[in-house]
Amino acid sequence: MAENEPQIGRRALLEWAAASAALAACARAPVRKIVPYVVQPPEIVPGRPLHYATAWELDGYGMGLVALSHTGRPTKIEGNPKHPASLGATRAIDQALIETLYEPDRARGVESAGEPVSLHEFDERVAHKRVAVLMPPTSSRAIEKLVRRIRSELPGSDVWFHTPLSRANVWAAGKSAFGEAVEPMIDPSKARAIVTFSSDFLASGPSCVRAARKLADKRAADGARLWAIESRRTPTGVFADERVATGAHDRARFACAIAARVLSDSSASDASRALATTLRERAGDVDTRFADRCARDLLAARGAAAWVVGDAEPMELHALAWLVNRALGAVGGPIVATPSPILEAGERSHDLADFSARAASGDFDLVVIAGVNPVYSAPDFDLARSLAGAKDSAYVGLHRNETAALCRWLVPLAHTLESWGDVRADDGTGSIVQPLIDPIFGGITIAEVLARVLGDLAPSGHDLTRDALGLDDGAWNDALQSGVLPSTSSAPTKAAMNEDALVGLVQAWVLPVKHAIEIELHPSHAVHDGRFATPLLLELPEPLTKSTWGNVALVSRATAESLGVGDEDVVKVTAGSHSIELPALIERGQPDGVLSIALGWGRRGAERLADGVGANAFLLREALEKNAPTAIAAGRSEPVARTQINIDLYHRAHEIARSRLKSEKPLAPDTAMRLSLYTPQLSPTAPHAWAMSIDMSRCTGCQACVAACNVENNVPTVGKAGVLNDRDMHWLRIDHYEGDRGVIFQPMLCQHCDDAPCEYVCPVNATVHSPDGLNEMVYNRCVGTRFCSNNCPYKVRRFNWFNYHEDEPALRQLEHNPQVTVRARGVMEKCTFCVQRIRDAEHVADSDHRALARDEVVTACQQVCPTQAIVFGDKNDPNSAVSLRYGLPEAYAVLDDLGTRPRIRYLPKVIDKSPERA
Amino acid sequence: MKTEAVALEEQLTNLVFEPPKWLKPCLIVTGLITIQLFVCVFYVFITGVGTLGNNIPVAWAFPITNFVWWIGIGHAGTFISAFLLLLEQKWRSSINRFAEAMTLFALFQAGLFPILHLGRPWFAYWLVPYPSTMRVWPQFRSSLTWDVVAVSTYFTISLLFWFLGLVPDLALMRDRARTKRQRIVYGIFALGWRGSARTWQRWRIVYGLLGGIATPLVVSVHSIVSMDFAIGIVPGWHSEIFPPYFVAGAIFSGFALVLTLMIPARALYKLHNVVTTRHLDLMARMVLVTSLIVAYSYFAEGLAVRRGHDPFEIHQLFYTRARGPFAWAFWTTIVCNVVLPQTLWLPQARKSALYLFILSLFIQFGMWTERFMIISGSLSADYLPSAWGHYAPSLMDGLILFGSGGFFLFAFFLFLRFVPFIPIRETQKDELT
Amino acid sequence: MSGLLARFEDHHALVEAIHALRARGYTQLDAIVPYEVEEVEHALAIPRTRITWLAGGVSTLCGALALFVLWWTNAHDYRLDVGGRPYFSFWTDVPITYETMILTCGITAFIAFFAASGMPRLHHPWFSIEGTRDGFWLAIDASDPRFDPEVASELRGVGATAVERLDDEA
Repeated sequence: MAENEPQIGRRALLEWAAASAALAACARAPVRKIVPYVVQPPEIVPGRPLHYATAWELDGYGMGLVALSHTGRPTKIEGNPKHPASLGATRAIDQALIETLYEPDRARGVESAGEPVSLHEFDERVAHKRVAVLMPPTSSRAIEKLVRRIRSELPGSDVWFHTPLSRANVWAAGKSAFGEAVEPMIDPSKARAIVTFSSDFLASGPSCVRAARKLADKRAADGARLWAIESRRTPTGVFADERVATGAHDRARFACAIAARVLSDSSASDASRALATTLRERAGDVDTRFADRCARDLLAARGAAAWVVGDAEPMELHALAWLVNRALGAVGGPIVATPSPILEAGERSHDLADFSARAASGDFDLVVIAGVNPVYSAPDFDLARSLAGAKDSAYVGLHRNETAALCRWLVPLAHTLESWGDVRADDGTGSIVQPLIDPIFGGITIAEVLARVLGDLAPSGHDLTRDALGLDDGAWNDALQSGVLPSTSSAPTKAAMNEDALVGLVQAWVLPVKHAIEIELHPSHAVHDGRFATPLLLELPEPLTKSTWGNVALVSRATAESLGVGDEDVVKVTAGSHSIELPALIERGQPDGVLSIALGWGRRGAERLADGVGANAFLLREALEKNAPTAIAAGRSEPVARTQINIDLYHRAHEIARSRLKSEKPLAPDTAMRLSLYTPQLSPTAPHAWAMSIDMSRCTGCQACVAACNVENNVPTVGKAGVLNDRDMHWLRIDHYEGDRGVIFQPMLCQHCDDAPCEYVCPVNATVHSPDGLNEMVYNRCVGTRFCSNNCPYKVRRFNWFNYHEDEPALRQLEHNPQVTVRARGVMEKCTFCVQRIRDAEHVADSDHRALARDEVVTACQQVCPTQAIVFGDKNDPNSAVSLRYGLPEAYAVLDDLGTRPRIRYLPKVIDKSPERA
Repeated sequence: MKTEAVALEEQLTNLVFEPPKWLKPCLIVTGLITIQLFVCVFYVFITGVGTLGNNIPVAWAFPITNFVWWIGIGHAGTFISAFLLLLEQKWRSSINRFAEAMTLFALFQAGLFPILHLGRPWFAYWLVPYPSTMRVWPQFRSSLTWDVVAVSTYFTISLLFWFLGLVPDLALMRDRARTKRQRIVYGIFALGWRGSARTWQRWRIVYGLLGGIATPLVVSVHSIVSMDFAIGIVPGWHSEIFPPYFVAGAIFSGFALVLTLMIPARALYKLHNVVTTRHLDLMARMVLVTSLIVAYSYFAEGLAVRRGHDPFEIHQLFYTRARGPFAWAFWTTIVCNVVLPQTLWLPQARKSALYLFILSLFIQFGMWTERFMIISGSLSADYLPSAWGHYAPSLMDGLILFGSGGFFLFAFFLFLRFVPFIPIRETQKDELT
Repeated sequence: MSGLLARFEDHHALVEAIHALRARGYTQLDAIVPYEVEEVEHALAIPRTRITWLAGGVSTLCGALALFVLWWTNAHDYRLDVGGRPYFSFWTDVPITYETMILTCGITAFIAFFAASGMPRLHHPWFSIEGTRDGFWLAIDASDPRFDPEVASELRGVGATAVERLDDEA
């Protein structure tokens, strides 16, 4: 085996091909009994995937998943409808779990000083020693138990938690308010007015899927106006009905202005009313009309109004949010104060500086860093020195990343799909993580590392989890099957809110200083904090700029002009002694003077695809606390790989992307008479007529559908050069338009036109129509004239310019969905309406001697959509979900005038502006 | 036979039997470029069409532009020899073979590109109906299948027409051969021609018949080529004016290429008695007439779009082309195809070989940019602004276009080297009877 | 074939000789000319070739066949719904039918021409006579019922500059 080869040569590749063939054949099934979800066949039926409920945690918060396994090989992640953080959908990054599992650059064996050694040697090194462990925040009961034991049984050892995107400010404010780390959980289904301060709570964070779903449903039901006060445009900001762009200083003043109005107007306590005066002074001369309207809207919705504050906002603003939410009667309504599920949330063990100092002290025999990469993400903490000062160091992780490079030991971490464990969602609901495959590279879990510290040299993740949860066989099996532990969600905190402490905090608040240039650092929508360096995510477009393969500095037009830069001109951003260079993009709705830069890029680890892509903005993060940043033009340009350049509608809004204000009357349906020289040929004999409806009012632009489509349909990635040359392969893209009334996100995929213009120009019958209305692409027959793409007015066809799968590492090939052809070079491809799922459902129904159930077929994009913006189904059934939307008078076809008769109808984006504006 | 006839015969056969010194280096240089072309083509076949600059939305770019341009150039050859034959324009006889050879060699180039640009060129034969176990047939509503038939018909008919006209002269070459090898080779290609009056009569009628069918053919072929675009729904493609517009443009560029080739050959071979100033003058008039037709087409297209009130068409024509990313191609087209040819109203311009030569180069460039602007410009910005894109050719695009020029010239120099490129018997007949 | 070949100074002399022989009832006459001379053809009274009719007929048949193939493949043998367009539409089939007619017309005429002219062939008795490439010759086939080898002197009488006998065996 080539397990320890640092680079894959041709020889290693061949060995891997053999190894992966063996893997596929043997299906390294987990030894412990895992229980299939819903479908329980007596054995694996080739060609039929098994569904397993599992979960994973990101920064400690659990997300319930259903993983598909084809003959022992996980190939697709879906959301678990029973899990409160998922409700059946997922985020884009969850979809990438399949890619991180089959990552060819994963650590492939235990190493000591670069030499392969056995895991046993590591066991010896770690058992009963004085060990310092740094790991990501967790909500796992099993780990909680182990940490407790370490703290009590091994006084010389200690455990710390770290993540680059911490919620420390949230917890700190919660602690002031309730005496314990409390999470303000938002439930938009109970809200009629929500204001967010730089919180992208609909598209990122632990509860974004649930929040987006509930807000979209609430809006559709009886309306909920969303106000956004933020720097760069986030999906949440453009989903909002009202938005104002601010820097940190002005945002704080807006908060003061709105809070002052709310607190003085309400039945708040005296202390709060006194605070209102202070706040009014601090607010100064911010846009009072906006603040007035916002406050009035909140007050009118008293009891159903909520403040949501972004994780990175100052702690005092979070404190203020508690005060305002209470004044609005939100606490216990749309905002629930829930004790954080995170172990030791807000305590000293979450302080990286503390770890860094202790690790360097030499008090420990071994410093273990597991699953986090602080050398990359916290450069100012000088972990290099800490690790050099430690007697011995080990890295437990998926890759030999920046931190691993400074550690003596490298121990492969088990991927979440290879692990036993447990997680809790933000509301406390527990789930069991069950493995779908034995660790491909023999990795171990963090719980198993901790158990080794405690001297258990053959720990079993299964037993550790089972012991910690203390379930009997029946409950254990039920939990495995459903994916959630019943009745484990946390009760709201019983503590009363300590108003005085909060008022004191806010009174003492020193508003963020206003600098000429301000840097807003934010997590990348695609690669998060940099740990997801997979092709899918590297090429996943940012929701608004559509940039891929790297980060950019977003600037307003005025700021760009004052800096003397244009699109793609490189700016040099300096804070303290650190500076980074990255290309600028002029972004609408960007506050003047604010440069927004995504974190998570500029990696230097073993993940070859991400190596050196973009600039590492973590370098600036600590320096920005103390220094005023500067930005200058670097005098060169660097192309930005964007999947969409034009965002203007060129007066085509009616034909393409319709929108209206909620106060306006509904748009009239298209009634133009269609004259045709032809008599319609499509025979209505097929029992089903597949169709889709997309509600643009519900789309947040979160890209989860793009990611899910890529994974489901084996869509290749093309690299930065490919994207720059307009050769991106996404079957489904989310178009971003600047409509007259705000941003419109329009998921665009093959429209499956009844009178498809692509079909009649194909000279070889490679794209034809099925009786049930699918525009079918016959890869085998395609010769690659590309006329179909030219003649597609929606430009949703994608061409294999090269053999994109040819040089794919053998391990990567395991991730492919076996029910979907892997396309070779020279053929066209496009959205199939997940034809494999349609036919699969039909076959299953056939073999069960029944008709297809209503809405039984679900496409990958529909399934993953947090807001259910996409609905698919049978148009012939008048009561199917799609028919109900399809028949709405406002439903329209894009480019209807062309007479292509698409099978996808869109619902216009409806924006609920506050009435005073008109 | 009269002595002047014999002298003419000798002059014209000596063009082949005593090749000028410059011909060999020309053959070597263009031969090397031809090799370069085939190396590039091989590379594209092996690696994939991704080596070209095409993308989505601009899925057709250099190769299809080159295809339309080369095939258009070919049209003048047929037009001169067939259409003017039917009109009994005697002046055509001294240049017709030249022009027909140009047609054939341009068709070689044209035929290369549609196959080259396919994603899977090894399956190009799927466009032809043949019974197979799959029972799948080509899809004949697509203009690409029409194209296959039209271009292959055009090539075949052009070849037959050219060869039939050549047979009597090949027989003469056989008879005047100076070496045994020449006699054998020319003898084989002469197919046993022996000058029987009955054969001559049959020859004239069949030659006339081929000319007769080649004339509507030439019109239909470029009409069908234009339908590759006109049947599409792309703004800037979907236009009823395309067939005549493309045919006029084709003949326009073809006449220009005849001038480009004829003027140097006339000077180098000292053929001023055969290709006279009158020939140049008449050719220049044809260029002027076709230029006016082309100019009218541009005007009519603009007018139709302007009056049509289709925002997509208007954006395509008046923004993308006139002011947008393809403005350079648009204005080059206007200057080369409309403005410069107006100088041909001056008799001095029509009679100056040097001026005509330079002008002809501009016209070819202008016609290429016109095709490029129509094909790639229209694709770069069609319906959904989100999908608009830019196009930049790759190195391979440039090398292949350059190589096809070299291959064309190589074939042409071979033609000059081995084939009597002035129709000897026809010229004799015109001079003497 | 065998027979006689007689050379004349120019085509005027040739035409006169043809007239003379035809007046005497010769029917199997031919002429060798370096380029087409319509007077000679008129003098020989060569019937207009029927190749054009043949080509026209074949081309019409093949056009019909093409149209049939288009209908049969797309509208009968394997019907596919293509963009909601009709399975068979005459107007979209015009281009291919038309081009097929032209193609088959040209090929038929070309082949028929060579077949009718006894070509291709590597050798012919006429080639053995010096000067047939650029002179004007009259050819009398021995199969002519009025053929008489002694006609040679008469030919000289009407202006032949040389008379050659052709062997039978070639």
